Amino acid sequence: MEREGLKGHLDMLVLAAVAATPSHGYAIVEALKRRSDGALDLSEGTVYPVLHRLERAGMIASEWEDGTTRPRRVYRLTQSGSEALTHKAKSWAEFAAGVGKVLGTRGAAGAAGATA
Amino acid sequence: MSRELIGSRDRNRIVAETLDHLYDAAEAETLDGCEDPVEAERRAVARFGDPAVVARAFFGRSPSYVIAGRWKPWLPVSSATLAVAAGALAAIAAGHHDSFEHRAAAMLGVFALAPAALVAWWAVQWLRGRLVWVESAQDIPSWAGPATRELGSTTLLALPLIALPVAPWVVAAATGSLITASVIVSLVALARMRPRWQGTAPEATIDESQRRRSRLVPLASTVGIYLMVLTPFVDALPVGALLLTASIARMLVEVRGQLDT
Repeated sequence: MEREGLKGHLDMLVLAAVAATPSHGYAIVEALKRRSDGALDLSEGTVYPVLHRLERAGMIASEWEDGTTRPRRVYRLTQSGSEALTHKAKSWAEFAAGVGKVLGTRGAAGAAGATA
Repeated sequence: MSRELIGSRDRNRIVAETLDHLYDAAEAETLDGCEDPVEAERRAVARFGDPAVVARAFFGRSPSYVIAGRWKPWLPVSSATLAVAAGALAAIAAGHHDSFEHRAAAMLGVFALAPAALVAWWAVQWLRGRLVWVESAQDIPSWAGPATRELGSTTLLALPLIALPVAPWVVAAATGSLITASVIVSLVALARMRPRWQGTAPEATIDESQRRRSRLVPLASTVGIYLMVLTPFVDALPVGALLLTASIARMLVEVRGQLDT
């Protein structure tokens, strides 16, 4: 997926990654890659401004925790973040369904035209 | 990246997280078969992305973006004012300035500039932090931050010089207030530094020597001035000149840092 296409959806994706398990920044980036089968290959640094913005908005909370080798900032989803994720996921599902219907029709026409 | 983040109240935390991320990424590269540690680190940095771009993303599209990543007009103003103070100090030392009726008060007035600069420095940091914090307020004009800082720091730094020939004792009283404020601020700074010295906070890994230098210079200035007030009969001109030079040097370092960006 192209990086431009991620803009506007990154908040939701990061919330979803944090919702799965409290994580530090690198683990969140890796989770996004792994769960998307590599489709979400973004500049890793771009996740941190999103994390900080979400934290300021109260959707996630973070604290330093002792890691195996060094302290790490671990992010957790808050109740507000959980509600926001639910809302965003629902909006995305409706949006994706609508776009899918449009693309499906045009895709079929395009495919038919290509084979004609 | 640290330099790009000047003005962010989360600067230390962001840099610490970035370092942690880069360590992880480099370790992952090594586990994936990259045998050269330097190459692994290079790949980790490349994966992270342009630090300047990432840093600016923390400030969004707000006026604080303009404020945080660009030229700070108050820095040359502060430097120039301190230079003027140094000149005034030299004039007093040479005995060529007849308008100062009370030399002790005049000296205090000049020395007030160093703690004033310190107070101005923290005031600016606080103000900038607030501006960053309200970054979602798109209606704040872009010139508001720099203008406020310039006005504030210029007033703080120039006031003693302006008032000195007119009312040396007022300046002396103001100096006392400034010194008290500076001591309080310095003690707060010292308290904040202590856990990092002990290495208990994650920020301990971040450019510690530079931070310590930048905080110790104004701290030393304040302590020196305080001692000078307690010992009025000691000719403290050499000490004062040294402290002012240190303050000027610090300002110049900051200016150079801004120019580098």
